[in-house]
Amino acid sequence: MMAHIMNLTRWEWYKLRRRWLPWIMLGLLLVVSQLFVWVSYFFNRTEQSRDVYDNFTLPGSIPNALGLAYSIGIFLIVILTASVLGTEYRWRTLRSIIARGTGRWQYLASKIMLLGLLAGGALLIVVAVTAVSSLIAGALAGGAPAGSSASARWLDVPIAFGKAWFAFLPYIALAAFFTVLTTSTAAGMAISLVYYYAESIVAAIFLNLFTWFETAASYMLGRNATAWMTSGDDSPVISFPMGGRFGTFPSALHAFLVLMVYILALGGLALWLFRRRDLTGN
Amino acid sequence: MDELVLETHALTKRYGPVLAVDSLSIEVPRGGVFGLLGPNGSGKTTTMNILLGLVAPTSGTFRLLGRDTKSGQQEALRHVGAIAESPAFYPYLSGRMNLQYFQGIIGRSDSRDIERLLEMVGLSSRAHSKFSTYSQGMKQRLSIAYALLGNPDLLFLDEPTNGLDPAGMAEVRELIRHLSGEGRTVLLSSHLLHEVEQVCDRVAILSRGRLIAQGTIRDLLQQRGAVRLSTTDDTKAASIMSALPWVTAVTTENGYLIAEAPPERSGELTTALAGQGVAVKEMAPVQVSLERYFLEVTGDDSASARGETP
Repeated sequence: MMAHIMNLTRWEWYKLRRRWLPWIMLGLLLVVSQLFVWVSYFFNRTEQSRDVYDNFTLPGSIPNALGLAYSIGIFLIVILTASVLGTEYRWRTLRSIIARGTGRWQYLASKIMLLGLLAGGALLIVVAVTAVSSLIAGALAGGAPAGSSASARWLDVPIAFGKAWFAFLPYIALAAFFTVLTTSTAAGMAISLVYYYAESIVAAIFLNLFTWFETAASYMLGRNATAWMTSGDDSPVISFPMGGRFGTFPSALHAFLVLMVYILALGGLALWLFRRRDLTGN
Repeated sequence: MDELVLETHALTKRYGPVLAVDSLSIEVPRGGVFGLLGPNGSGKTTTMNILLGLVAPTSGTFRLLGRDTKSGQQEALRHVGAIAESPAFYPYLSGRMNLQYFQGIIGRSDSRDIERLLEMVGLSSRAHSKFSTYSQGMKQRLSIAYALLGNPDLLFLDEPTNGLDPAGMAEVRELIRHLSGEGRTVLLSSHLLHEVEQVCDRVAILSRGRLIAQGTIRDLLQQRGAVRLSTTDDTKAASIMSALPWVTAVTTENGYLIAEAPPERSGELTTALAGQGVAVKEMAPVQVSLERYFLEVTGDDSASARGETP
């Protein structure tokens, strides 16, 4: 069974790598993820400090780049997931696949698996490119400011990678569910992105109006994804520019468990719906 | 009874208040070409969709290539090739890449098959071109190559000549005969009755989701035989023949009387007329066409499907 899913995943990659979309997205991801390195480098030229220096040199640059990659990656992975699934409905190729004895849940599982692997692969490329960028920026900047010690650790690199990769998974499940539900790329993409924005807006408004909402907010997808990504940070990147309450973020364990429930629930619903729904029309 | 590659038992599909397939029970023996006929909306495509695992039946069961649908449909479908009415492939991939992809997920043939199939359907020279650049006829040819991937035992062809020019249609008909001759079974759904008549051995006729008739074309047409005759007194002859219980109808066509009766009873017809003083001047059996038979058995359904007033 697993071998069959792996074979389907391999052939999904055969199709996907011949499309422009994933390569354009990878380019965008790389450009944005390198911003932190180069902005820090230029900032360091005017005002040198150890913290700024660590932001564009190894190993400190990589967690920062992965954090930026995650921020834009959510949108990209939602768009890619909706496109990978929705086009099968639009081109009616799903019929040709299922009619030749390909199991439905195995097929959807192979797509989701590919998207998960692609998210991991893209982050690995971000790590590699950031490493090269950092070496160049470090060489251009010369040595570290005197009288200070490095604050970044190499151990932070795999932790940041694992966090970013895991945080993508519920968004893949979310986009997969809405795309299967609507059988449309555009609708799946739009609903997933609206959900993402609406959730944070609702949380921000309600948290300022009602203290009891904090409990409900602690089970929201976006809030737990942010909590998961910023857990363990000395200065978590939590901003609320308008001021006001933003509540307390859940713990890392809480966030992990909630994200896992979202992955299983949305992924399970997508598989269930995909299995039972008729594929009508030529 | 021949070995059956497909048998359905009371297969039913309901979409809300609409009964698309109504207790359909058909049997398709191994080998030969089996035609699935019916006016638009008669349930042909829904039936094919159920058999291909695209649509779940509301009730009823079927066996495909000897496998039970509950447990073995997926495995059975690995030995079934299919063409949908409209070819569906990845527009950004070439014809060859599309076939490579489907071959990869089917996993039942080697790479030489693709070149052989492209050659067979006449697409070798355009195999590298993107599917989106293909004409309708080329798309249909690629569908045929796709259906033959993995050397399937059973082929479901839904309007396989759609979009083809007359020469292409003739080629496809020849290909269907050739595939059938190789021992495969072909289930052909078509609204082109002359096409069905030319290539099918057996047919099932559907109307409003129900099975109206099933059998070999020869047997079905014999049930609806007719005799064309000219007599010394056609008015009296029509009256005499109409009174016979085994004559179902008497009409006039191009100055001849057409008596719908088994041609093998022509002798009895002559005797009955002669007995009442009417001499037969000319008599010949009339071969009922499948089209005429089809229109008779589907009655108002085929007319309403065409948007005509019955």
